[in-house]
Amino acid sequence: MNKIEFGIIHDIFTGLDRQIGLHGGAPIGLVVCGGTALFALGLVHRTTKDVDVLGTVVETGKMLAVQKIEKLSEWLIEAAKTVGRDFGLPDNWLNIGPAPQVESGLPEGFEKRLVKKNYGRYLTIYFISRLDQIHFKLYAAIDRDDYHTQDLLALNPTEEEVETASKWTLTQDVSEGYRSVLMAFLREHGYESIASRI
Amino acid sequence: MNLSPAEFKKRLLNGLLDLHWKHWTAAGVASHIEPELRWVIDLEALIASTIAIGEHDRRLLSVTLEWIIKNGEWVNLSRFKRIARLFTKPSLRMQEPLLSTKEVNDAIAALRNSEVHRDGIFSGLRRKGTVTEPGIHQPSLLQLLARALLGIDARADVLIYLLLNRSGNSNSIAKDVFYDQKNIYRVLENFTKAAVVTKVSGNKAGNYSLRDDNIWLTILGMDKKPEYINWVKTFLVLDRLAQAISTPSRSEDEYVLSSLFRDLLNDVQPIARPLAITVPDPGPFPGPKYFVPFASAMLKILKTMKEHNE
Repeated sequence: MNKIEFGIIHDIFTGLDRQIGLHGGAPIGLVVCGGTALFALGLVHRTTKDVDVLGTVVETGKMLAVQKIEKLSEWLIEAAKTVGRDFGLPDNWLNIGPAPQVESGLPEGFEKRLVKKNYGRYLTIYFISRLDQIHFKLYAAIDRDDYHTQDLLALNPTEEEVETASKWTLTQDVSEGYRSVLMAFLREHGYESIASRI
Repeated sequence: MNLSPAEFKKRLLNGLLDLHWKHWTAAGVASHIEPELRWVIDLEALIASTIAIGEHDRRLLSVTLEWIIKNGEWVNLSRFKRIARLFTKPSLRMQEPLLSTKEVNDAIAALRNSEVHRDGIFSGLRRKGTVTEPGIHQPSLLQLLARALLGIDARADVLIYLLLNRSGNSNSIAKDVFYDQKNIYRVLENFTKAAVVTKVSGNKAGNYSLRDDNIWLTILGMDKKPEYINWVKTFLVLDRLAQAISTPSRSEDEYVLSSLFRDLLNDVQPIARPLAITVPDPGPFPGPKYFVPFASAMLKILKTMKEHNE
C-alpha cells in the first residue's frame, strides 16, 4: 500500500474530482484535517495513510458553514474506491473518523480560517488551518502521547496559541481527570505558565 | 518514452482503422492496405466493430455496406445478433455503449438485404464497386471456407475452434465462439457420433478434441494452421479504448485514461499473452503514471496484429 504524501496529494484529489464526475456525483466541499491537511498546507512534512474528513461545507455567498457528515454518499464511496485502487491506497483511505467533532464543537472562527483548494468541477477541499490543527493536535496528544505530540511540536505553537487551544480542549472534556492530565502535559512540554493560568 | 494522450489517440485510431481495412481487404474489399493473412478473421465481430468505429472512417463504413450487400450470405445473422448485443451493453464508467440498438437493427436490416439499410447508419453511403467475392481459400478466411463446407451455422465455428485451440467443453467453446451452449453441445455430440471428434472421459463437462487435425488441414487445403485470436473480445477492448480517447472529457486526461486502462487490464492480458507482449502491472505506476506503460503496450499489440503477415 502506498502512503499519502505531499508530492502526490494534488494528484489524488484531482483524481477524486474526476472520478466523482465519472460516477455521476455532484459538486462537494469536504473539510479535511489530520496529517493530510498538515502537509498539504506545508505545515509538517510527513506521510499519512488516510484522509480524515471532518465534515462538508455549504457555501452561501461569503459565508461558510461546516456540516456534520453522517456517511459518505454512494457515488463518493465508489469514486474513492477507484482512486484508492489507482493510487494503491489502503481501503477506507477517505474516512469520516473525525466527523463527530462537528457536533462536539469547533474552535471559534474555525470556518473563517479554512483554506480552500479547488481540484476541478466537483471537488473542493477545505483544509483546517494551522491554529485549528494546534487545537485538535493538543486535544489528541493529551490522550495519546504519540505522533499527535510530534505534530503539535512540529507546528511550533506560540504560548498564546497553546493557551487558546488548552482552553478549547477544556470545553471538550470538562472532567477533572482531563484537566489534571492537560496540566501535566503542559508542564512536561515547557508550558508551566499556561498550566498555572487556566 | 514520451507519449501524449493526443499522440496515443492518433496512433490507436489509425492502427485500429488499418486493422479493420486489412480484414476487409482480405474479405474482398479493394484497398491500398495489405490483406490480413496471418490471423483467422471473424466476420460477425468485424461487422459489429466496423459499425462501432465507423464514425472515424465513413469510407470504411461504406465498403462494409457494399460488402454486406454483395456477400451478406456468408454472415451468420443469429451469431451477429449475439455478438452485437455485447457491443450494446454499457460498460463500467463508459458513457455510451459502443453500438445503439438502432445501429444494430440497421445492420440486421442490411444483412437481411432489406431496403431499410439505406437509412440510419448507412444513409448517404455510396457504392463504389470496390468489393469482390471473398477468396475463401486464404488462410485468414478459414471461417468462410468452413462455412462453405459445413453451412452457415455453429458447426463451422466449432470446427475452427477445435482445429486452432485443440480442445474444449461445450461451455468453454460456447463462450469463445458466441453461440448458445446447448447448440454447441449438440454439434459436439453429433461430431462425436460422426467420429470427427473424440470426447475425453473423466472430465465432468466432457472435453472434446478433433480426432485428426491433419485430415482437416488436407480437406481445407492448408499446409499449416492459421493463427487464432478471439476477435470479439479483442475488438470490444480496442473499440472501448477508441471510444474513451475520443470522448473530450477523457481524451486529454492522463489520470482518467490510466484509470480506464486499469479497468480494461483483465480484458487486455488474454489478448496480449498469445502475442508475447507483457502489459505492465499497474502497481509501480500510481495514478496518471500508468498512462504511458499501458498505452505503449496497446500500441505494440496493435502493431503486432497488423504487421505479422506471412
